[in-house]
Amino acid sequence: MLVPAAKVLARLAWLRLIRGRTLYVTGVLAVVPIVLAAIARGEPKKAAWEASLEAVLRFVIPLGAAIHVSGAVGDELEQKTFTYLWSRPIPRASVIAGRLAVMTPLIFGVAALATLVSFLVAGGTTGADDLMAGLAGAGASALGCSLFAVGGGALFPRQPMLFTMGVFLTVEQFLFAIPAAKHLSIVSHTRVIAGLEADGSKGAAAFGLALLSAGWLAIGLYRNATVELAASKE
Amino acid sequence: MASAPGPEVGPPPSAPPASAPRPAVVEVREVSRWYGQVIALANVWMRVEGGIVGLLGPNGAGKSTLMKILAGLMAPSRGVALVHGRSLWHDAEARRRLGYCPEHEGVYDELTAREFVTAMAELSGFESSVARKRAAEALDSVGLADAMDRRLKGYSKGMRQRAKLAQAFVHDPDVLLLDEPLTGCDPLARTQIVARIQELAKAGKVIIVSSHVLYEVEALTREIVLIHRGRVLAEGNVYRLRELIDRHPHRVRVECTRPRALAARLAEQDHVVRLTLGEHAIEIETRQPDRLYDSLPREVLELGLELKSLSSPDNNLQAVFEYLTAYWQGTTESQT
Repeated sequence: MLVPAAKVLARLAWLRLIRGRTLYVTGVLAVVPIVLAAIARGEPKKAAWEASLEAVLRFVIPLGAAIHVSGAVGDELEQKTFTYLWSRPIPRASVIAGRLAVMTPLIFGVAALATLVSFLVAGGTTGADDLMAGLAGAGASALGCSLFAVGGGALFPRQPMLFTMGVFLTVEQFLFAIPAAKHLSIVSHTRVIAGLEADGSKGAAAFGLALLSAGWLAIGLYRNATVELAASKE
Repeated sequence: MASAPGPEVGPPPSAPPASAPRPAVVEVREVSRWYGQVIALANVWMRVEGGIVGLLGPNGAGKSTLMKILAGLMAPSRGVALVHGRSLWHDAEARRRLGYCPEHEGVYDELTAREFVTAMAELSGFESSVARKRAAEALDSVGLADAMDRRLKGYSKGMRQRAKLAQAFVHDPDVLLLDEPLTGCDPLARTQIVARIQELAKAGKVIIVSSHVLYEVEALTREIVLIHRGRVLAEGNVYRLRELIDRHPHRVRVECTRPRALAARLAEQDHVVRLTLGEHAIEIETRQPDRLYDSLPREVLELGLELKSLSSPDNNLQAVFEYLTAYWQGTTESQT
């Protein structure tokens, strides 16, 4: 029942997305790396490309995940719509699966488009290998950030977006630069995969990211399975 | 029907009936639920075999908590709540036979009623095309045929209640839990919802309806369970509650000119238990409110008083529940 229910919930998530306003915010975010690439275009070496890719990996994708995924559990609780879902014969995990099935590809698609346009705008100084590495980093980041958003959002279901956005904009902005702690950073692993860190192993980064993401997904699934409706005023 | 707890009004049942004539569709055994130090339900026993049962109690009585436990949205802190012998908290598959209409107004605002109800039917296991057909029929049956392709965001409260009701029975469940389904509805919506619930009961559904308004429940059923402060106070026929209300001294407050003169007249009437005189008002306690309401206009006219307002502080169930609680406590103390 997980897959059929997730498909229905994915459709609902899609309808709510295209009829809401959050998609526009993500669109505006996607313009940032392109603007950066245009500004840094005259700089030497790969400065324009790297600046835009950094923006994609550190801002566009994490904030996209915070906006679109972190509320997978919290939104249902806040709007009390989960009462319709969890009183039905469906696994609770389908709520998360449905949200991820729509939002993760969407975030990756927006990020990939921004990366591609930034690549073209940066022009000349980068090759196809850089582009492919950048897209791989964006894909890994979309998955990693989405799963973090599921877990973080479920931990703080009353303010899921605030919590995940806070982590992405504060902790993640310096964690990747601390050698002893960078293994705990999603951004650090995705920067390695995207080729922004020369001294890292892409395989190890992919493995580290997979572990981190699985951990956050497990937290999200556990919270989703055990959370109850708070005592509401009757 | 809810099981009889023994005395007409007495301590909440502490054990199931000795013999059950029919298997219970809904069974609540020794259920307690607490949130930290707050006890929402305390040792509740309930047994429903069929028909419509009204779960009646004032705000904060524990009705919605009981509904959520029955619907599998919440686990009891102690005891078991079973529908067709299965716990819905532990057994997701058993929810296929249950329809739940929550008390809150929350719906998916961005969706149309048709999309919403179709999705709920699909989640109950129907194929997409069948779900769409059933959703249209369910919405039609609650009077939303013309509005089903409008977004829920633009719906009035009454329309939302009807859409919520439609999603509860779109998958043809055996048991329906309707939590305050008439709250906030206009008279038309109220009539349509009551009619639909009665149709569903005639079709053999077991329906538990919660409300804090007696006349709402009376419009649906004669079988009630009284719940207050997390405890079942009494179960049985609604007429018993009416008798209790009659036994309970009923207060009426009259604001008028020369209240002292009115008080003197009323003091002569044998049904009047107490009179409290204020500067511009009089509060009357009577055991027979009907007689009081009959005589008041006559007395006011004969005395030539100017009547400013007439109200009853007891015009809700709260006072009756307080009375029942005190009555029950008194009974228990006298037994011990």
